[in-house]
Amino acid sequence: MTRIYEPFGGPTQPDLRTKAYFRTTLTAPAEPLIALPRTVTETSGPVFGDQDLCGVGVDISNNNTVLGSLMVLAGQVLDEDGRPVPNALVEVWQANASGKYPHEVDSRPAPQDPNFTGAARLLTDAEGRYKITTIRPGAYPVPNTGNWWRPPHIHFSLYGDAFASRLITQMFFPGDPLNDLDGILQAIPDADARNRLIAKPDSSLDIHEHALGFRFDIVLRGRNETPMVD
Amino acid sequence: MTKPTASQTLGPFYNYAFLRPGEHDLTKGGEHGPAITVTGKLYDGEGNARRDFLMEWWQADASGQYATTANAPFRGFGRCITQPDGSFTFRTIKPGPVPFNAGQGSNAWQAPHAALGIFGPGLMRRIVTRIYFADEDNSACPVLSLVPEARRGKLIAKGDGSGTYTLDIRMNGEGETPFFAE
Repeated sequence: MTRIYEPFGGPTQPDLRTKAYFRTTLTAPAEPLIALPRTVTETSGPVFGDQDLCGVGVDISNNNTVLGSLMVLAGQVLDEDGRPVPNALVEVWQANASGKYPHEVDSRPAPQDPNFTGAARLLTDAEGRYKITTIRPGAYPVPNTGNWWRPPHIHFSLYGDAFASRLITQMFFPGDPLNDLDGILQAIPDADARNRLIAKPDSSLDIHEHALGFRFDIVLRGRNETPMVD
Repeated sequence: MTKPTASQTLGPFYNYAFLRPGEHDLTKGGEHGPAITVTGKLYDGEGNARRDFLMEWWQADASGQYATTANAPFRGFGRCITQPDGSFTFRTIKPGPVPFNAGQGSNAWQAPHAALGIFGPGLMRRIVTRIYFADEDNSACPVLSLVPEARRGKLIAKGDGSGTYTLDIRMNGEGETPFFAE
């Protein structure tokens, strides 16, 4: 059965060129994007295995030695038909509890955490599920923007079953007042699409008196063509 | 039917998270054709070379087949981060021609190419282009023919005759690289 990839964009996706995020004017193509029929180049995609995990685990809390509020984060990776996407490579990264990334480019004078690596890597299981343990990241100011603070967020990189289903996104936390002020989250015009980037508290994932549970499901591009009825 | 999750920018602080040395080298599992190097620089709309952009490369093998397992001899996928001088480099083999729209009534073939996806700070979602090779017959490629003729050359890497191909990519502005709708 053929996989269908609808054109990407519209109000459920951020515009490439958005006033809310100042750098986009220099990096968004100005010429119209050229419509491309889906060929085997777009409908095929890289396949990953355990050897690609490179020993990076699913515990960003580093066995509960990282400072911050401990949380369990889990969800399901689905396609546009709601079918699970198994064996998807998921890469996760985030700031520490003080909003500092373990990265040389982050020069803000906030404390590093020596136990914090800030990254997880996994393959989804047969039901498309993933589960990591981490800490709630801190907010941080974006330099030279008039005191714009990024709300606490967790970055996700996913490879589905095709080059066309590749996605990089960010997950936010429910109820954070910075969400409504964030130029990156608010660059998505559709309110429902923004809300889908906000994790949901999930007590079934809680570890009693130890860690709070959150759920974040992700939908990758692609659905199956409706079968023709003879 | 559900809508795809919204894309968000890669941001600047990611490369500790998932890039490992050698991910730009598609031949590291063994060479399945003559090795080539494809290199260039990434520029923004003011002509600044841009560092810390993630570039992802996807191609068929020398016979025009895309890998379908993680254990394929040639997996066809690589990625790299642009260097402080904006440069990127992939080590790979030449892909073969691949069908255009197999099963949909077309017998046309696409000229050898790689798909290239670019993420980075200042990009709210991926931009996608292709790289073709100047020493291949690109005249009948049905995808390349969708690109206005005056701009096609911006997708074609030039070889030096000894296995190194060069193509700069301009995301915006004068001499802009053609990008495809996703």
